[in-house]
Amino acid sequence: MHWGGERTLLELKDLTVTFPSKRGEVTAVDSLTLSIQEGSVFGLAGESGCGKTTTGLALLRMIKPPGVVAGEIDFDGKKIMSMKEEELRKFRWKEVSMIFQGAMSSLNPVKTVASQIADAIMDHSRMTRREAFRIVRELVGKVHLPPDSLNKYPHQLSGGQKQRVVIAMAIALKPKLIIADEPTTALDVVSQDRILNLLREVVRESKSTVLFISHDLSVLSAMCDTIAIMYLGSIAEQGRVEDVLRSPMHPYTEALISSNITLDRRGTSVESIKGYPPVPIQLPRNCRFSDRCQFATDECRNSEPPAVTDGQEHVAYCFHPRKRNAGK
Amino acid sequence: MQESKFITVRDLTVRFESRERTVNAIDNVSISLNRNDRIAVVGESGAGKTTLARCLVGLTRPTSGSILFNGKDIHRGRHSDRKLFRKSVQVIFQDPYDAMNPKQNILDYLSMPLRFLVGNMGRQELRNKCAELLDSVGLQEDLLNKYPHQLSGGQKQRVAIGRALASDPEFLIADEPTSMLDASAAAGILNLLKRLADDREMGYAIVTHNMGVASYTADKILVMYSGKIVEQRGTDALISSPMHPYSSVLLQHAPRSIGVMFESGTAKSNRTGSEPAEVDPWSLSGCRYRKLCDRAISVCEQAFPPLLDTGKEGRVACYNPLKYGQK
Amino acid sequence: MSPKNLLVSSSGEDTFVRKLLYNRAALAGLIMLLVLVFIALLGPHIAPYRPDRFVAQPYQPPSASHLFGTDGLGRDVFSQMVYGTSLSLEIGFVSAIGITLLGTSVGIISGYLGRYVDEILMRVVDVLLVIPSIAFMIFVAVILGPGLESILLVIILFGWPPMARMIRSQTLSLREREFVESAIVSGTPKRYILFRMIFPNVINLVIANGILAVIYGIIAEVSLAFLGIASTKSYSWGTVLYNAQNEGAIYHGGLLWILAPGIFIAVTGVAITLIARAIGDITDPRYNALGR
Repeated sequence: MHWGGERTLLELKDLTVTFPSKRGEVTAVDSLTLSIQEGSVFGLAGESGCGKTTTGLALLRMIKPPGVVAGEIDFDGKKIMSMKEEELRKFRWKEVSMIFQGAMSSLNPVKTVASQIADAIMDHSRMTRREAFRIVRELVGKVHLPPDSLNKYPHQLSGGQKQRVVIAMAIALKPKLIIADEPTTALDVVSQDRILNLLREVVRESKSTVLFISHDLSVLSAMCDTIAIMYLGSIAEQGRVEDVLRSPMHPYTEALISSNITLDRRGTSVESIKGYPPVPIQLPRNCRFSDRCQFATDECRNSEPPAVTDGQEHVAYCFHPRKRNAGK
Repeated sequence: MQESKFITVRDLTVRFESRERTVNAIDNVSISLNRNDRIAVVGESGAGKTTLARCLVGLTRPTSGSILFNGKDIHRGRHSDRKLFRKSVQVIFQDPYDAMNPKQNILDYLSMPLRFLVGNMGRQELRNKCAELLDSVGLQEDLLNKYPHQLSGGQKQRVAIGRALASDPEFLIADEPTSMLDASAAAGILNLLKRLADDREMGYAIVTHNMGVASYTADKILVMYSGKIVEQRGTDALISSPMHPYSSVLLQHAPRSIGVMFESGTAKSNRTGSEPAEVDPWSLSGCRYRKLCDRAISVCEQAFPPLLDTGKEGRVACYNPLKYGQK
Repeated sequence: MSPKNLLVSSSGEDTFVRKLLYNRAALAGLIMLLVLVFIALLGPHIAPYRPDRFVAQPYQPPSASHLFGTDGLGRDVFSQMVYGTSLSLEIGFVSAIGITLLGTSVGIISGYLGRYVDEILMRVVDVLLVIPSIAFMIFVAVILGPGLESILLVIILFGWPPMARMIRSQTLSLREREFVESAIVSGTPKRYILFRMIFPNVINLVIANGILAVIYGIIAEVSLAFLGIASTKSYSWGTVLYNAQNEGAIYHGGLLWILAPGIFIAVTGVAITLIARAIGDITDPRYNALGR
């Protein structure tokens, strides 16, 4: 339960990512502004296609042309947007690492676990093979893999074990920030909980900062200090995880929470959010959620919603916020 | 239970052999399904639940044992019987991104079962029928000319359900239909399945690792572990008082609503305590769960416990089950 | 725009040719190939001499009037090469078509039907791949007797197995895909699955490898000709090389005479590889990373 330091590790200012398409420019991330405190776990939530993954990739400058990234990314005093290819190579993995969605299925099938992790270490540092393998042995203990898994191949491991290998690779060089993109989505609930426990333990020990991307609010509620709910490339609501999830102000957040199917919903009717998010091509400046929102008025459809705050860190962008202060 | 004639699985075993080991992905399983059953098959990955689903629709051939549909073996017998089986039992797969041919549009995709299972139809009739199918899963007709990559995951899964409905089936088998979808889309799909089952008097079997999904959709739950059924009971009974220790673990891991999690302090705390080692269940003699089980007793090493009637419309395979009301 | 979306190929098949033309490497390859085809079609108008006429002293070194010099009978080697282009390309394309048809059908059938069909077909492939093909080609060609048909037959016979292997493995992985399985459950006949579902998904691989088979066919013909198995009635690049070897070009300093077939083959090879690679790039779904 660490509530981070006072220092801002990562700051995004007006981050915008666009992709050209046949029908016009697709705005995947739309003037996103947020900051992450050192030592905290920051959750990024939203439906698939809302730009969460794109944001993670943009942070590492991994959006490939024809995608275009604009805005500022400040990380630990460095301007990432003006880094050169060589600087970026050193910066990726060493300072910011990423656990990719589906990374566990992209492990090299013909390499043992040990050499796989060692290769990743050597690719991004000046370590010798020997030093790298020494670190690998340490890491395997840290992620609770049995020692004999060092010489195993990916197909001999279970899904959960593979994800441990991926986590070991991500923490190998002690990065300041770890971006975890849906790290548990492909796992069954039992392995999911185990991997979450591991991630929490690893984070606590290494004091790293984490950007945790997921659509699963219960996973996020178990991991994060702060959470931002994204909708169509911009933030709908943001704040401390307990404030946002227990007393959501934005109707979208509220709908997301109540569409969660959980054990205690038997016999009740769980409502899904009606409709689908539109493709973000030349959207008008209004509330993005207005066409799916049951509380939407003309105001919502025609102008950009104001920021509504509740307490210091809890912000929602909405004309008709729900349950203000309800949780207090 | 045995008098039911809709689908009967008898002593089903499916063996997978690789260089390193031989595994009975399904190990001598017998079940019977009624036409109107709403059942969930629950277990972690590797439990054999997907293999069971594939057997039930005839995609995986049993190594031994048989699957009977209306009393007839689905892999033998007359062509017309097998065609009737195909029409009556349909399937929805886990990965909506992979379930459609990227080179075919939605109209082609939906027409396949209509052309091959239902029979002769003119072009316009086919199109109308496809539009009807889309409508029944809550989608617009204008999707017909679109290609899979133009649809969201939830829309694809709806189309897949629409196709499964084309032959007017009596039973649907859904293999992890929501595990690739986000929460809102998942709720939409499960609500749709429930509604369709009501409207069409159709039964279904949902394969899932998530007890939350099972409890939301099913009247009966079948818990599998390492190719064996370990508990099979009515949903309410099972979630309120699981008898097999493994069922109780699955329930502990099931997602709870946000409010409950914050209130009980389970959010942000280790829900499972210490880390159990991963064991290969097939390497164990006796009960394959005994290494992970906190209720294992000496007899568990002797033989895999038989699946016995609990007395109240249920079966459990455990020598030392949890008693009523104990978790 | 999740990565999943970015990985799905766009269905804009109509733009395939345009994409190919926008690809510089492909364009270069296409131009080179067009020049070769041009030479093949207009051979008699381009070649300064008839290939079989004695037009100068034997063993002349290259000069302005005889670009590649003359052969042992005083015939113009450049003219022989120009005339030979037509036959060499013809052999290349015809054998490529044969190899593609045979390789693709065997690959798809073997991969999809599996079991004993696969077992038998793949054993045939194995046998054809392990026997020393050139030696066997000569053997078969001798039995069939000389002539263009027997050369084509031999080249195709030994050329299809690698293609069949590749298409088979692609088919195998497609067969496991859920969209094929869901078609099976929908009662879709095998014929439909093979031609309407599997085939469209391997067609790009077929095209790319079919193009590469052209160069295989050309080289195989040259190798056979070099070893004396050639159609004697007309000229091909192989006949030129065969003559160069037979008439002792190396002792008479006819360096360009020996190199000429190699140069033509190399140009064809580069052109074809550029095109095939570009097709590979274009049909790689990630190429269309433009969102939905």
